[in-house]
Amino acid sequence: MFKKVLTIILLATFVFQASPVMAGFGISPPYVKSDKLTPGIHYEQTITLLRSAADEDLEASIVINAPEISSWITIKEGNNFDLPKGKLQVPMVVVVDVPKDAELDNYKGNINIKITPKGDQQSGVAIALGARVEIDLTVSNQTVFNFKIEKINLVDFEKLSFPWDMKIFSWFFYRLRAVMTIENLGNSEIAPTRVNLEVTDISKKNVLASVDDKSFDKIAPFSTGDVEASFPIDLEPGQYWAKIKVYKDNDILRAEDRTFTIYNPGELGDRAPDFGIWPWLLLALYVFILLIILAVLIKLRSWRALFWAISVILIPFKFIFSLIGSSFSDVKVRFWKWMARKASKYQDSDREK
Amino acid sequence: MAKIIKNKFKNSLPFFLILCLLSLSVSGLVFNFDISIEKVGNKLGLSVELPEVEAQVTDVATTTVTVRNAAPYFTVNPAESPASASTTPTNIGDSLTFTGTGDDAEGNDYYLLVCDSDGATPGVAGAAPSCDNVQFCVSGATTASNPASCSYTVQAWAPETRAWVAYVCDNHGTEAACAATSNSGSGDSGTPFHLNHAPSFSSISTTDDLNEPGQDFTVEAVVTDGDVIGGADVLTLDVCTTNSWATSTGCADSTICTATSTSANVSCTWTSPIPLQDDTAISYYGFVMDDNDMAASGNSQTSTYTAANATPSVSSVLLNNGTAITLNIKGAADKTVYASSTTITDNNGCGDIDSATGTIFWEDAVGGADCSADDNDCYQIASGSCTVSGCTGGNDIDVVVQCTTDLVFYAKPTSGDGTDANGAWDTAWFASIRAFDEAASYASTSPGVDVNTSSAIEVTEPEIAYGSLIANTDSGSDNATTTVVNAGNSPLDTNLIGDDMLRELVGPEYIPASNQEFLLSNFTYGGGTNIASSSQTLADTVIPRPTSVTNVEDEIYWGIAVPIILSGDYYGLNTFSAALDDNVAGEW
Repeated sequence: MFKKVLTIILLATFVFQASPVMAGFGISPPYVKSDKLTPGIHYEQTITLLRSAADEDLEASIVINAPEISSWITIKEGNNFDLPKGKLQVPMVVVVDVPKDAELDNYKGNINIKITPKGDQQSGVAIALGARVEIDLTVSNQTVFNFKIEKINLVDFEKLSFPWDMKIFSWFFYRLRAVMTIENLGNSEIAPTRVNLEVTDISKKNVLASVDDKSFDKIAPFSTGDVEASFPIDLEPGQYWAKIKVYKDNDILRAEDRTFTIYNPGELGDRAPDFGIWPWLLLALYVFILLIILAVLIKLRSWRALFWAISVILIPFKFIFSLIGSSFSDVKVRFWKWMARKASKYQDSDREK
Repeated sequence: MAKIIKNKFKNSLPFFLILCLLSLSVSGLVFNFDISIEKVGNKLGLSVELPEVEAQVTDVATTTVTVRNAAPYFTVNPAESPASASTTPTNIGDSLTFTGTGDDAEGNDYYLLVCDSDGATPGVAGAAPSCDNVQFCVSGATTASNPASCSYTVQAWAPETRAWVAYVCDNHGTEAACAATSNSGSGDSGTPFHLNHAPSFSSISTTDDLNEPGQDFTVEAVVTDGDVIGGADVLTLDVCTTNSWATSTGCADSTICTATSTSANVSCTWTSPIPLQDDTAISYYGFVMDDNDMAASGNSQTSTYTAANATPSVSSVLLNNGTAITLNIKGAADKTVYASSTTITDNNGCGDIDSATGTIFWEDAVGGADCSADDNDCYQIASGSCTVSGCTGGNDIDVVVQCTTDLVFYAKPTSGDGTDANGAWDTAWFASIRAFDEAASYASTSPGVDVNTSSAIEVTEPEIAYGSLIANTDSGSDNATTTVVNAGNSPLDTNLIGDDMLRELVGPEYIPASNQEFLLSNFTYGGGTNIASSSQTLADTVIPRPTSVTNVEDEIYWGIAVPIILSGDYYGLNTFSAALDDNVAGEW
C-alpha cells in the first residue's frame, strides 16, 4: 500500500498545450429582460456573442438554467453553434414562448454560454471562457402599445411614362413612399396611427400637398420591421421638401424634414421603383371590367342601350363625318356643273361652225 | 269856275289815281305775264305766260353778274380718331388722325386742314392749303361729301394738351377758298388733343441686396413722369434677365419681377430662386413704360444682385442607422460607427457644401455635441473622417454625409431598464453632424440610440499552474494565480465552473473539480471556496467598468488538494464566465 502510495507521488503537471485560444469573450447585452410578456406571447431577444479575436472557429455551448421556464426558452441557433472565423460578433437569438396558461409572475434564471475550440474539446485547455446571461421575465396581463422609429427613408422616384401616367394608373403607382423602420417595444401588434406628409417647394414657402396615410402593415410584438406609407401626389419632376410626421394616437412620435427628388422618366435607371407586373395586372383588370360590362349588356339584351351609348359616344364624330360628307357632295356637284358648262360651250362653238 | 274846276279835280282825283293804279296793274300783268287774247280754233282764249329772263336782242336791256367760287363747308365736324382725351392721350411720336367731312357748292374736291390756331391759306391752282401758323396735317384732295382724314405724328410738346383747329378748303383752280371759320370739333374728340410723355428712366439699383436664396430682393428704378391730367400715369417696371423687351410682350426671356406705381421711383420685389450661387453678381435689365404703353426714355437700365451665403442645413441625422450599438470587446478592433445624414442642404447649391464634421456623444457628456473628446462619452469626428457625396450639380441642393469613428470597448453603456445600477440606462447616445460651407456651418442631432451593455472577460494566464504535488497533499498556501480582466463596458463578476481533471486526458482516474478552491486573495488550502462541476460558483470580482485602455482586473487565487491517486498528468478545464455585476452604481 505504501509502495503504491509512493508510486503515485504525483507529478501532476497541468500543461495546457493549446490554451491561449481565446483572449477575451463576452456578450451584449448580458441579460434577457422583459416586463411586458403576456400569456401566449412570442418574444425574441438577440444576444451578441463577442470575442476579441476571430482567427479560428469556435463553438458555443449553451446551457439554460431556468427551472420554471426552461421549456419556454430556446435558442434559435441551437444549443451548440459555431462562431465562424473572422466574425467578432455573432448574434444568438433567445426565443421565449410564454405558454397561454403561464402564471402571471416574475421568472428568473440564466443562460450559460461556454466557448471552446470547435472539434477539439478539452484538448488541454485549462481555462475556458464563457458568459452568463441573466433571465428576468415578468408575465402580466397588461397590454403595452409602444414603438420606436429607428429611421425613415424617403424613396426617390421618377415621373411615369405613358400610359402609366394616366390618372387611373398613376393614382396607384405615382406615389411618394416613406419607409419607416419601426421597433415594436410593446406586446401587441402595432403600427403608426397616421403618417402625414406635407410637400413644399424647395423654398419651403409653398405647400404643394398635404396627405395622410392611415393604412399600414403591423409590426409583431418585440420585433423590428419596415412599414411603408405611400402618398399619391401630382408633382412635376424636381426637388422638393417633405415634412413627415408620424403619429401615435394624437401625438407626433417623430417629425423629419427631408428632401426628395422626382426624376424624369428613365433618369433613375436601375434605381427606379420596380412595380413588377402590377401595372399590367391593373390594366388587365380594367379591360376585364369593361368586358364584364359589355357581357352584362349583351346578356340583358340591352342592345339598344348599347347602341345608344355608342351613338352618344360617337356624336362628335358624327358631326365631323357629316361635315366631310357634305363637303364632298358639294365638290362633286361643283365639278359636274363645271363639266356641263364646258360641254355646252363646245356644243355652241360646233353649232356656229 | 276855278273853284268848280278845283272841286271837280278834287273830286275826280281819287278816281284818277285808282284808274292809274288799275292801268298800271293791267299793264304790269299784261307785260309781265304776257297776257294776250288768242284765237284758239274757233274760240278766243286768254293766254298767260310766265315771265322768263330773255335777252332781248332787240328789246331787252343787257345785265351782267360775276359769281365767285364759294368756300366749302363742314358737314361732319372734324374729330380726332380715335379721340385723344385725358384718359386716352396720344403718345409723343405716335400718329394722330383727324377726320371730317366737307361739301362744296360747286362740287369741288376739298382738303381737310388741321392747324394749331386760326388762319389758313388756300392752295394755288388746286394745290393743298396751308396753315398760317403751325400746321399739323392736311388731307389729300377729297371728293365733296366724302370724309377726309389726315394724320399727324405727335411731336414733343411740353404741355399735356395742344389745341387744334380744322378747315376745309377746296381745290378750285383759280379761286380756291377755305371755310371762313375754323372748326375745332367737340367733346373728347375735339380740340385739344392730349399728349402722353414718355417716363424718364435714369437708373436702377438693388436696394435690398445680399439676401439668401429663397429670400426677397428689391430693386428700385429711378423714374419720373410729369403727366398729371386724368391722373398720374401708372408706371410699370419690368425686370428682365436679358436686355430684350417690348411694351406689348414684356421681357423676351425670363421676367424677374414686375411692379407698378403711380409715383416716381418704382420698386419691385421678388423671391430669388433656389439654388442660387453666392457672391456672384447676377445682371438684370430694367424696363419702364407707362399705362399708355409708352416706353420710358432711358430704357433699359441695368444693374446686378448678389445672393448672400446661405447657411447649410442639416436634418435627418442618424446614428448607427438608428439602431443600438453593440461594441466590440477589449482586444478586438474598436467598433466602427457611422453618423450619417441624407439631407444636408445648401440653398447656394450642393456644391457650396465644403465639408462636414461629426460628434458622437453620450447624452450627459459635458457640453453635449461640443463636448471634449473622451473615449468614454464623446467622439469628435474631424472632417477627414466625414465623406460628402451625392451632389449632382445643377439645381441639386442636397448631399449625403457620413462620418465615421471607432467606439472603444468601454464606452458608456445606456441600455437597460433601470433594474440594475447603471444610472445611465435612461440616457442615450447621439450623433451630431455639422456641415460647412465657406462661411457658415450648421449642426443637427440624431435621435438617441443605446450603446448596449456588454459583459466580457479576459484571463491573462493561459492556465492555472498548480505545479507538482504529491498525492494526498494539497497546495497549502502556495496559490496559483489567474488574472481576470474586464473586457466589456460594465462592472464584471466572474462565475467559475470546473471539470474533473482526468489522468492523461482520458482517465478513468480523475481529481474532482471540487478539490479546487479559489479566493480573491492568497489563502491556505481549506480557506478558499470550492468550485463545482455542476453549477457555477460566483467569484465576486467586482471589476469596475474600464475607463481607459489600461487593464481593469482582479486576481483569483487557486489551491488544490490531490487525493490518493495514480501518478501522472491530470488535465482539467475551468471555465471563467463573464457576468454582469449590477449592484454597485459606482462601478459603472
